[in-house]
Amino acid sequence: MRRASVIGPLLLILMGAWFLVSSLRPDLPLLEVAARYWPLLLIGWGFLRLVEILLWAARSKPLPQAGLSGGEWTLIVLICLVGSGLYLANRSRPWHRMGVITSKRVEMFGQTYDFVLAEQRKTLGKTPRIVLENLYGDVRISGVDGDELQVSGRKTLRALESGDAERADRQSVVEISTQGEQTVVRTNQDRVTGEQRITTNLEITVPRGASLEARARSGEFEVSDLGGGLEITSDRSRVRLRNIGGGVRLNLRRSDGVTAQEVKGGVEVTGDRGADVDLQDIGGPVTVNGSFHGSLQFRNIAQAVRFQSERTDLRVEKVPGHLYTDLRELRGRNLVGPVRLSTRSRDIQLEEFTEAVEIAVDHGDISLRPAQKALAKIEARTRRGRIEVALPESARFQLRGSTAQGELNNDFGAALKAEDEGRGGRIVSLVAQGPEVVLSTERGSITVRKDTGTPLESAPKPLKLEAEAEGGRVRVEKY
Amino acid sequence: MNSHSPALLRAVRGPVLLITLGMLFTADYFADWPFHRTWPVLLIVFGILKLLERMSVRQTES
Repeated sequence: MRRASVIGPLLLILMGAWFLVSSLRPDLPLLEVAARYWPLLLIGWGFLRLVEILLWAARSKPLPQAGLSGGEWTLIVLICLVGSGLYLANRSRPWHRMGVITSKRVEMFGQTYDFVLAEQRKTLGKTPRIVLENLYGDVRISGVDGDELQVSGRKTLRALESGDAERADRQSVVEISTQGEQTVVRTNQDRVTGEQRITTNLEITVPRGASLEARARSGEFEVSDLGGGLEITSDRSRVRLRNIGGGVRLNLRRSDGVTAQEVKGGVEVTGDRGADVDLQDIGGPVTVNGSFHGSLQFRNIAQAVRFQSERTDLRVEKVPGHLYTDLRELRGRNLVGPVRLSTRSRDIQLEEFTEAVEIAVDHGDISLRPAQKALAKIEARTRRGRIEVALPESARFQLRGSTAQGELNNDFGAALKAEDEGRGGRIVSLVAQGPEVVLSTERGSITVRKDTGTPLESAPKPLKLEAEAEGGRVRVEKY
Repeated sequence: MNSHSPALLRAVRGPVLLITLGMLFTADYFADWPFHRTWPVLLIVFGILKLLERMSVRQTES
């Protein structure tokens, strides 16, 4: 028998109260509270029903067949799913506390208000140090002749009412102040109370010799013609740099891309989850740290390049040519070694490199074509993948190659001897002189050929007629 | 009505499970016991309630 319970009405009252409060006080973080405390609703519900049943039992009234009906269980499952989803969304985004989720209402029902910033000027020295604090918004900075700092721009506010927008505008006045040696430009977005969303887009010109430090949460940075150093710390930004006189340090939790051209000093990029990085004409050492899901590209780097992520460690002494890597491959042309690379899974193709090369890959093919002059030590190891090396015809080297499973292709000629061993084999130089060339794979073929000057890329892909399956022997490769 | 009666135990099962579920989520959010580790508690509670029910059925039969 179905008995009247107080829970249904109570739930309705609770829901009504929640919606009422959320519409009367949109500034309260109700969604956050709900995301964190929803399990208490289950406990309260269960407890009330338990008390009800015990009361019915004490009064010897007939008890229901099941304490909770099928419909109620469905509702509970729904609450659990929505609640867990909210909690996860809440926890995985630290910027949420800045009001991104709570201002969903502002996004949906609010209006955009635009304010033009009055231009501000301040005379500084020839080589000032400038600190910029702008939480949300795009910033364009350029160095010009003279000794004046000039700030202008536009503020965009999203708010429910124009009164809110004007109040927020007054609270977030752009200030230029001097603190000791440095000049601070603040947009004061953090002083705004309430639920408005602000972005301040700034156009700044600085004396050409200035050095700059910028802190932000998100937005785009475009910096050009800056004589001093540059440091940017941001949670999520896209950064474009051109013609920077000093060193550059970028600390980006999640970057939407980094492009830098003509930097006289070094470049250091750190990121958790970054998109593409493209660096060109860099005078100093380059260090890239962190995981990047996009591609990394280095062109004309005068000093050492180092890339370190959870799975990859790459060092190159200089990149006069081009070095490209993404999650699937690494390609380089015209590099100065020593080149050291260890990674888990990538196909590797290096051409026209000088000095020693040391490569260790878990899973991936390796193709190498050193520069014609002065062969140096080469060590290439992969666990699963083919190795192909094109060596200068006149070069002297001591080659040792071995594969545990896969065939050997000696296209170099009589200077090498290949012998099969089990399912794999060895290939060695007959005369022991010159630098060492060590090639090792556990599963895959080894090919040594004469460098005829054809780049690896334009070499036709081997025609694979893989009858390798069981015997691991028959394989036709045609060049 | 006897508090050990099978009907009462059956009726109480839902609310007790619901309270346990709520507590496990609370333990996940406010203490260091993630739900993906503690969910078997639900099975245990369900099993205990079932067992009590069986025992009380036998008692009332005998």
